[in-house]
Amino acid sequence: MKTGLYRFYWKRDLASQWQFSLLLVLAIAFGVGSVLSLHSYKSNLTNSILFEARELLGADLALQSSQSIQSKSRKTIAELLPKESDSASAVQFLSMISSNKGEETSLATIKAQQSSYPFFGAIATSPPNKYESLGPNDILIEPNLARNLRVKVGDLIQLGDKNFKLIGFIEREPGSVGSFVGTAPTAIINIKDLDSTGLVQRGSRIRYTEYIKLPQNDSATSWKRKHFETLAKIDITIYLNTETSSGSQQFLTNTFDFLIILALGGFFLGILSVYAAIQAKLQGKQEEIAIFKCLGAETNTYLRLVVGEIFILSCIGTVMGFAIAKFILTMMPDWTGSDFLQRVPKTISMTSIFWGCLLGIVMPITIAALPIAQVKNIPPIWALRGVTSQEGAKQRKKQIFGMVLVFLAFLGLSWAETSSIPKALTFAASILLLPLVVLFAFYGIGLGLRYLASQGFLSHTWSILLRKVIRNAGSLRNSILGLGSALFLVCLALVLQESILTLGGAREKERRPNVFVMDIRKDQLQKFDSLCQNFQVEKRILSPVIGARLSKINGIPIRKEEIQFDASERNWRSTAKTREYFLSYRSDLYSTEEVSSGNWWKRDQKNQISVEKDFAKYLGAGVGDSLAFNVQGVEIEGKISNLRTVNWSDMKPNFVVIFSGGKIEKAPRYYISSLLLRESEDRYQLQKALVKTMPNLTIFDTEKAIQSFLNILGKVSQVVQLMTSFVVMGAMVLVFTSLYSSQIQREKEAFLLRVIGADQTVLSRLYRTEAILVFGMSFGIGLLYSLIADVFLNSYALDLEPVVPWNWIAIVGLISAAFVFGVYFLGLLPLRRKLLKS
Amino acid sequence: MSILQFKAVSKTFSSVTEHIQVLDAIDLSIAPGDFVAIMGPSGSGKSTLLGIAAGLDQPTQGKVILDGIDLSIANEKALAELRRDRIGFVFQNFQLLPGFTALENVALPLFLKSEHSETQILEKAREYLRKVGMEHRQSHFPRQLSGGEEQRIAIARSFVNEPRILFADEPTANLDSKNSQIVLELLETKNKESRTTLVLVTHDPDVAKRATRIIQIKDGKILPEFEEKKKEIKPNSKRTKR
Repeated sequence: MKTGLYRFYWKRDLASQWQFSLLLVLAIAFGVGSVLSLHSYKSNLTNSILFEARELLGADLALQSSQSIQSKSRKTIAELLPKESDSASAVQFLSMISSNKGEETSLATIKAQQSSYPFFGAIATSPPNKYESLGPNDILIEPNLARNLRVKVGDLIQLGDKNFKLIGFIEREPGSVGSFVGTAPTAIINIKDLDSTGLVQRGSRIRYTEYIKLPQNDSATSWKRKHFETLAKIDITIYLNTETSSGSQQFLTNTFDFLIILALGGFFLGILSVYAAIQAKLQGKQEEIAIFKCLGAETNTYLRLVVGEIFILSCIGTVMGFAIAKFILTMMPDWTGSDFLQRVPKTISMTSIFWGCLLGIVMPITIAALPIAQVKNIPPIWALRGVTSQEGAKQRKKQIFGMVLVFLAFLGLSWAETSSIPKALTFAASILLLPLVVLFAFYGIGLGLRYLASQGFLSHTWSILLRKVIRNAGSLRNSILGLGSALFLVCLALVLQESILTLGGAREKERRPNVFVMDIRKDQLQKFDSLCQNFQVEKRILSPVIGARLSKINGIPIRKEEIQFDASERNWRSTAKTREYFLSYRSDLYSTEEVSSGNWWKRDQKNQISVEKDFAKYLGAGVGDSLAFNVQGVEIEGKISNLRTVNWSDMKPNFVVIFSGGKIEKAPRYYISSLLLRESEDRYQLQKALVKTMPNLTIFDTEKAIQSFLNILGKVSQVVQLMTSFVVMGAMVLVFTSLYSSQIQREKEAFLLRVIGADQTVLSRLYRTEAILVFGMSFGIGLLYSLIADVFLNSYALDLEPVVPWNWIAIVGLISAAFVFGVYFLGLLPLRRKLLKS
Repeated sequence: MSILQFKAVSKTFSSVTEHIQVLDAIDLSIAPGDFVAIMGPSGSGKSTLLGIAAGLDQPTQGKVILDGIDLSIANEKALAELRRDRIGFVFQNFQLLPGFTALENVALPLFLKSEHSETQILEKAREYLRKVGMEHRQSHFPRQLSGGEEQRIAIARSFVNEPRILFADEPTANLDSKNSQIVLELLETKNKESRTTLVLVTHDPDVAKRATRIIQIKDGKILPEFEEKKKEIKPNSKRTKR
């Protein structure tokens, strides 16, 4: 092997073409860094959850129901379980809890458990071992709950109708990891004390759980698969230990899906930059290879030189990408906040290292394969005659083949990241269709403008420029493709970021109701009303709530086995037919609602139904269809007279299904109320006054819940902004590569134009016009496509309402314009000096 | 024995609409140590002839034998070896690699052979730069050099492998008269001192006069009346008068 030749060539070529080398390295580094960091973090988080799954749940399985598990159901369960299985019962619900004298109250998650639970892990307390000795009338609470109630060990705490003695504090417990959205601190009592609290009533939001420990060699997944439908028929849902707090996992999955788009987008930018840089580098080498051949170099020798150079740069870029990934990981927030998941390691996982090498080294060489294959066949006679570019049908076929390969590789990567073929196809199509969109738009707009120029509507400058646009498919099109791709991804990232922040209500200006009061009985309405009047309560809404199950659609019964098998796929829309409903009735629309189909009912119209419009799709029902609900054994039927949009973040009592009135008004019900009380001290006093006289009430101070959720969203935003900024940096590299690689051509053009009589004024005008064209087309295409892609992604993958931050997009536009004009202007400066000198 | 032989060599370029016959049944023989000038008007096929002779291009018909090797059947590897070891080429537009210094451009053919260490290679390259009077510019890049300087470096590059035959395609076309003289003297000296065969394409009669033999080509054919130039041969020359 000619090591001396390679060393000599690479040392010189890398140094002399350092600009392209640097751009190539940066393109790979940013792309690899963004994909690696997210892949590692997601992988580490998932592995942590899996690793501690048993201890997170405290059992192999959890069988859950919203109704008390009766003896018949218990018998069924016992028959289905293998011998030597263990089980422990638990009941969980939210309730107000107060110090003995009722001076302090707080919302708590009450867990009434059998002491044999948990089967794995332990409930750590201080003083230690207090859970094991939890007897009748004892209670354990979290330290922050004790702070709220101002109690210490030995004090009495009132829960419902019963007083408990505080025997210790909960330091760590299973079953709570990942459920960080809006939960209240925990209080644990013995399950035997549950009834005496009087808190368990029909219509309360209670979760009944049987925790199961299987014999050692039995598979929980197999058992679930085998018995899922049988238990679903008796309203019992099976959860694996890996599905703990599946709602939160779904939230994480959605968030990471969005971030994966960004990371893939960042890598796509990297691929484009790599392609642009390699194309530009190899174009200039066509003559060089002919000379090398004249000097006696074999074709393979030269190819090894070029591929070796790209390999070296790819390795450097990949190493830098790893460093960037490590840096990003250190800046990632801690998601869980739970002690049980001690710490999600912020390290680059082994699979990520493999991905990094694949993406950072193999992909660039694969991308370079086509242009390298083109230069391979350059005959040495070109050194004599000059370079002749030949792009025949064979070359075009190779280009198409190359594009198909890249699409498949991208699809494979998307699938590996999302574990979902539909999502992978959605992501890959959204991003990779961009070059086609740019191509069509490029020619379409170019032809349109040429027509205008030919009709005399545009100046001669435009006329010259537009001929180049249509015919010269080289650097100008690549510049627009590069810049357009970069702007597309930046705009998309900004829109998705804004949509996520708006989802959480982070952008709201108007004060919404910030107190929710639940479980108000009918006989308590008057008392509730009079207590509220003692405070400056605003925007008070009172709604009846009736618990029900959907029994029929258009007379056809609902099958309970239709429950989604995988809990992580289970969201409130996908369980449209089988979930428990909370129905309500009223005669008027809220100001925040809008009828999208059908008509709102008149006051005298009864047994009409209004359904939330997106939910109706999952239900498979529309205006004119009938729905029947089972309310404690009584069937109540109604006809859908309209679909409506609901603003879920307006903090009013919102329902997916509401009736106009009629038979439902006779159903057993409780009430919920939302109201606005501006001062936190007033909210606290109201809460104390309500709970003192009506201890069954559950009161949410949603300001705190919103703050908690905003805290999570804040972390989401932090990651989103971090990744968006890396996408922007990757985009800038691509923009610069695209514009810089066309600079050489512009220089040659400028000299030739000078020869035939163009002066500095003409050149400035020509390139100013070109800059306008490049920026205008790129920004227009990039923005438009990002809006289309956003709608597409939200419909099929992300489940977000698109919100467009026009102010930020305008800023991006201004900065991009400045960048483009800057590069063109700076590129003309050396020409100016040379022209002046000549 | 000939160092270069053409036997009924023809070259045709085909496009979609027409076929262009550039060379038409050329027969040619060049002896070792000859200095041959190929002359002809623009488009006569002289550069094509040179390219085929140097193995840079393939004839459509006929045979080309260079230093005992049939170029028309030799594979790319054999051709590359030939170019590396036995042929030197000087281009009209110099064809120096812009990213390499003068010294590195000259050293490039030696690196391709990889028989020596880097130090030895660069030392030898320096020696050849010295021979063409360009050692003082060894660290300069082509863009920092004048046309004449570039061509001298290109000549040093063509000499560095001690080729048996040198091909020069209008080496003085882009030079002024002073630099043209320098370049031609370098080539002539090489031909005389090392007995390196020199085949030079030119349209300049003053340049052609320096050759021991002139071949006139027109419309792809060698004109028989100008096939040779009778030149007075000095007594110690190995040439014989015809």
